[in-house]
Amino acid sequence: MSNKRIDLRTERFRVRGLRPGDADSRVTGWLADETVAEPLNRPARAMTPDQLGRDFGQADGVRRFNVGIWPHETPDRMIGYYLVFRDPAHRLATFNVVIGDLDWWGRGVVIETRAALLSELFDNRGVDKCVGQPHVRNAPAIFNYKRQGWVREGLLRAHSLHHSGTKRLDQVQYALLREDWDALREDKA
Amino acid sequence: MSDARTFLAEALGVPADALPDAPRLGEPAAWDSIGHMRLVLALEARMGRPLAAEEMLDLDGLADVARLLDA
Repeated sequence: MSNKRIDLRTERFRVRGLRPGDADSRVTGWLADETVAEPLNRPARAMTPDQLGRDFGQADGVRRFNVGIWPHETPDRMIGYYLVFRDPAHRLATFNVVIGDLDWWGRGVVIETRAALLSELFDNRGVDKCVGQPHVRNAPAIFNYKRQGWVREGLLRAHSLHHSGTKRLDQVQYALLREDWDALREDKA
Repeated sequence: MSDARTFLAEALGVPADALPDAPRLGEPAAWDSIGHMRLVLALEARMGRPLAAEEMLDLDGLADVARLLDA
């Protein structure tokens, strides 16, 4: 199993492991934007680049992967990132993603880049199952899981507390087993 | 179903005659992740209530739109 820093290329994007220095004021600004933060159930709150950079630096390539997305057309301008948590005991990976650059919303970034990450995790990183648990009202995330062929495993009723503390939120679990992803890749080939 | 087609086209911001015979997620191209969000908001505005979780999760194609509009 590889523990090298992830560095992948898709048709339109580079997808590579984050470094603390990738957290600049533009990136921290995403988390202060309610449009970006609310679907993630986070209060819109500014972080400093140092704070976010420390978070980016916590990836160990075994239990946690922090992976940024850079378009080939603007290779110095990150547009979003993944936080992927891997449970080695169960060979399970949990996906989270934020596309912070709103100019890229609705342009298929997640489906294209997550496909590369799924192949990397299943083929080289000792993962047998990937899961995602978007909030039910996060319609763009739901679209992306369904469109990519993830299997809906169940509704997680009132699974999380809204960041305001005033209500609970439903989530849904989508998942892909290695054999699911192999079949999807074969269909696409 | 024709009402649902008109509704879907308006929600996605495309002419009704630009829809395929059986529109669904990703077809037409305007039914992308943002189009899906617009469709949910348009349905909720028409229905006067938030969609239930299962309604959100089962929204895959024109028949689902028609079913919600008829409910």
